[in-house]
Amino acid sequence: MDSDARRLAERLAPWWAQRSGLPTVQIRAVDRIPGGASRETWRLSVDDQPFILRLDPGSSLIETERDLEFAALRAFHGSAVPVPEPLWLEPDPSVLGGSFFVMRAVQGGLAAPLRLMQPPYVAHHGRMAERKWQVLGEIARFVPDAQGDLAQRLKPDPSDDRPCWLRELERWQSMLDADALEPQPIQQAAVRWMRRHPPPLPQRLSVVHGDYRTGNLLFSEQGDLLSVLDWEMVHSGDPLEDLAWGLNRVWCFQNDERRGGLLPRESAVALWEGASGLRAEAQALHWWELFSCLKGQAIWLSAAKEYEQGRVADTMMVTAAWMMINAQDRASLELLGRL
Amino acid sequence: MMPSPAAYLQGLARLLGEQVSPRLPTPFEQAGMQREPMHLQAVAIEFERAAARRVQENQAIRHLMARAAALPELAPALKARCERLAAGADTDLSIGALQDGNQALRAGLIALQAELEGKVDHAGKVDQAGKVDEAPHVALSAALLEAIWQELRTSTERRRLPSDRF
Repeated sequence: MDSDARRLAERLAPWWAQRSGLPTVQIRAVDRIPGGASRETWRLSVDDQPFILRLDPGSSLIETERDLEFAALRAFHGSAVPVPEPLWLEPDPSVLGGSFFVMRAVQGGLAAPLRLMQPPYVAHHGRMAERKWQVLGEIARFVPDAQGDLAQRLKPDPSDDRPCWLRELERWQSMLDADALEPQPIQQAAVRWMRRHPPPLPQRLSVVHGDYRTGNLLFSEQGDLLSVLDWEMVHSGDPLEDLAWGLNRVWCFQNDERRGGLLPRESAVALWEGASGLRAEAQALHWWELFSCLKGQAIWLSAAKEYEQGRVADTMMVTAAWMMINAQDRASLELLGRL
Repeated sequence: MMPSPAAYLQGLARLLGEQVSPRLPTPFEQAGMQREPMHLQAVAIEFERAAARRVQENQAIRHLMARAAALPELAPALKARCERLAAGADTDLSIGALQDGNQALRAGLIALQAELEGKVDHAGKVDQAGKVDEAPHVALSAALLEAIWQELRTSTERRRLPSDRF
């Protein structure tokens, strides 16, 4: 364990004992998991059992609410959508410097997309793709328990009568405008286009994962989808939003037509339609795909700003900005028929 | 500067990837260090092209601004802005100065494109007085709009890096 990990283990041990009801606990290993630009993720071994801890850092790429992800895991645990078992939520930042929650680790899986493009996974890409889009269809079908935390947290604000497309568009446009360090003519043109051509109202309002992509799915070496991770951007909205995000060009990890590095766009859409029982109407899906470029660009620009202004030292922010900003603009141009 | 920055950055990338990264104590730190060669490659490319791409782009946008300033029926404030931007020049070739100029030009381009879209969208539509807007300036606006899209496409070519995902 390095010094950060040792400090975390020392501060966590008494809290863990209290929560678990044990007199003492032994935290033997603590490793930070690479990735996770908006929240620190730590792998723990406590009394020889594997756990995952998700910790809010001082500054993050996307401002997310602490308890929402935990509520989503509780709602989906045991459903047709595989998620890790959530254990405890700690909102008090005095314990570890930020709010955090603990979940049981899902063993034997990998969520690193570039490694998922290599053997032994590549032999199972058909199965992985099928499960990826089927599970997203299951998320679109899912109805959370009306009395549960997730349903309560996703209740619409009665004072906000905007359709979900406008609410999301304004949210991410505001973030883009606030965080862009230089003018963004392509995204501004896309926003004007989206306002002139609004999508139809959703066939149904559903739980939207908010960041459903290959890199947030844990796959076994046999191609089983073990778990859907990173629910920090979960919200209520048009299920096409999740489908479109997963189809975003910037997730073409093999630099070809396979979206998410796994399957061509039309095949992915057909799988999702079959599983969700919904139709991905072409005009509506096109709108949400263009929106997904705006959302992506807002995130990458935010990463650039965080690093440029010295709030975050993690060079993951540089990677996100330099790899993605221009690609995201090109993806927008393609959808606008201008590439 | 010799050795060239590109050669130095290439050497540094090799050092970090082959010697420093394996000695770091945790997988998290190793993964972070393994990204650095890609960053250094991007820096080397950008060092070489930084001035050239800004000068090219600024010239291209000034040309669009000059075309816009000659359009009939452009809103006076926007016309004045286009004239001012078109008359600019890159006399200081430091990256900071070129970037400042580029940002002013791209901000102006956003305003111009929005205005032209409004004109073109309105074309052929019947106004409240029952008149159809078929003004000849619409064809000029549409042509300029196409030229702006072409420039935006080219702007993404200028910025491309080998690591770009698309």
